[in-house]
Amino acid sequence: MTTSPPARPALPAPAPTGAARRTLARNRSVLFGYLLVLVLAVAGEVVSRGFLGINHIDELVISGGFIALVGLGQTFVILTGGVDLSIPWVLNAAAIYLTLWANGDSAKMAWIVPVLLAGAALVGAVNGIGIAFLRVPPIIMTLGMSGVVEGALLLSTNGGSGQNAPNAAVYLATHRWGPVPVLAVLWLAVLMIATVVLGATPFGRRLYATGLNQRVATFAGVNVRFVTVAVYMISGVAAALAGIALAGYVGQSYLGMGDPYLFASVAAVAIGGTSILGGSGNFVGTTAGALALAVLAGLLPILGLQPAALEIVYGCVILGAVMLSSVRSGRDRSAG
Amino acid sequence: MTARSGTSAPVAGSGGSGNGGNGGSSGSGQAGRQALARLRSYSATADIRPAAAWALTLIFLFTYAIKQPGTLTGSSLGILAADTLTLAALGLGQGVVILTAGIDLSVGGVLALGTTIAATHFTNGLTIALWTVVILAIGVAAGLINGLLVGRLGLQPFIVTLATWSIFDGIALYVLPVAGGQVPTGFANWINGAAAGIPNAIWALAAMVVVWLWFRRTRTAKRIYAVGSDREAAGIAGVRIAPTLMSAYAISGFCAAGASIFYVMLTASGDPTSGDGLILPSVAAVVIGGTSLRGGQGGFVGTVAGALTLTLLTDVIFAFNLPSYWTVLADGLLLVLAVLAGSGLQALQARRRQA
Repeated sequence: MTTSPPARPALPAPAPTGAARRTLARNRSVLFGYLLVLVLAVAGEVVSRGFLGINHIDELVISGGFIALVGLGQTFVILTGGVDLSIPWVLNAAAIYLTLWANGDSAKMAWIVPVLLAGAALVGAVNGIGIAFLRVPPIIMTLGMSGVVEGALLLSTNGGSGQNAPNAAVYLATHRWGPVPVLAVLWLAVLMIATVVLGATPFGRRLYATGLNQRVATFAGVNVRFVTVAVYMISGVAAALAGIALAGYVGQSYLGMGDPYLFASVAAVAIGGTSILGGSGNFVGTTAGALALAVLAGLLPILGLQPAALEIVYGCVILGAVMLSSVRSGRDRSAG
Repeated sequence: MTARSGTSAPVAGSGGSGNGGNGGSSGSGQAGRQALARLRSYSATADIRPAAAWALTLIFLFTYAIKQPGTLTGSSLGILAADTLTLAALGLGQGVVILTAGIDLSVGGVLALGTTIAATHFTNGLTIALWTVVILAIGVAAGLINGLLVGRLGLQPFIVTLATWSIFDGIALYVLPVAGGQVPTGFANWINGAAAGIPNAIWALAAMVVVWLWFRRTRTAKRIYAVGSDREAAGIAGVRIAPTLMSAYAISGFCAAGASIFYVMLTASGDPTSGDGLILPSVAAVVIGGTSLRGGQGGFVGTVAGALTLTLLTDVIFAFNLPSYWTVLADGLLLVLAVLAGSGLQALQARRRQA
């Protein structure tokens, strides 16, 4: 891109190629993410004994998992160069409808969960169609849909907040297989599926191509519109799944339970080294970001900070990560 | 410096008004002239979108008036204006940022912070004056931070302002953890008062329009339009991009802070979550008002109509005994529909120009 790189001191003898350097840079940010988790966790143990006790680690992994799950959708969307602002209300709607429709009857979950996931996929499809076919900017489309989902939820429930989650949801969300929480297994499965989809399938390659350059991707035979609709559908389904699991884990649903997850999902993606411009990054990084945020959230009360501090931290983390990656990519470009 | 073409208000939109060649040293004459010609071509045709927005406003107004007789009296219109002020002020700033082809989500955070400070610190005339200055200064500072990150570092506007929205929301929660606080009654009552027989709120709304019409003719505004129309051409024509973007975001921060004062007058209290629900309407007001999300086209005259429309929508929903939850759903739908209508109109105009 740049015309002429500034004069540099003699290059180190066997300079790695551009591609190798980029791979290194990408892994560096993922490594950085996990390093951050480690440092924060150790800091927590130093400040308060038992922070790294097995029970508390469980809790951190599970709350990090919720961020990672919404971060999954956000990662897919951001990789294509978009963003999904409708996540909080899709999550909230899934949680509230689950508890209201089930009304304590666990058997009803057999049809409620598929219906909710299909509904979320539909919301995502509307987002994707507006963006891919009608050329509405992603931020506007998802902001508008966020209002539509919120309004539809409030209207259909008459503004009522949710109620207690059905026992089956609570059981699944809090059950353990031996020492391992069921949710942790679910998170691991999600992590593996997402990593395989992004790294080793044609869909994954098309997704990256779309994010790098839509026009070039189109010329290369990628159905950019299909990819765009698909990622917003994935994001909707991930948010709904998170809402269902969260309702079970917390034991109830209430208005506003999705609110923290917009900032958290974007922050997790940003810490994980995924480029906000699209085209580079992966879900392994986002998982690191989600864990780091969960550990941070656990650390703040120990340090005597109010929950309000969390929002400030989210904002600073997003800014810091984006600035860092902008500086880094600038350096990569002038070096390559 | 450079020849200045027509500077008509955007609602009239009759003449070409894109002009960016101010400040800095223009590049080579040839490239500069070409860039200027390119910039002018962007606003060469009449834009009917603001007029459409005003038509929509009137439709809503008359619908409401039929259902609710007495709407078209001075005091009722005053209440309408009072209800619109917060959104109009937010839209004024949001519109300036959208003119640069950016977006400012942090207006929600600045507004929330402003209301919490006002509700906890306004006690008498002196503290009101003092803390109003502080709130406005915070708004400008917030905008400068956004503008610095967007303009100097070239970061994406939505991610920067998403982050600062979160930060200012967090600070607001520190100032006032739950909705509440209070302000002196006399201060809150100003918004319902009247001067020279005309409600204060209408004066305030008119003042904003007048300030906009003045601002529209300043060099800063022309640079903002130029940068939004075609950043590259504006740069070649000698517009310094980063300071221009910083001024746009600073204006937005200032307006959001001003909006928080109106909000506090209307509700007589503060709310750390007040901003979250106003970001969507602030963008919707701008877009319904006919400002293009691609930047460079539109203005506050349309945005006022957009803000009035959204406020009237709430009134109409109320008048028809519909649940108030329709409001947020309708806001979202209107935002998307307005974007589609806007780009449809643009495509139509482009086709007619070719024909």
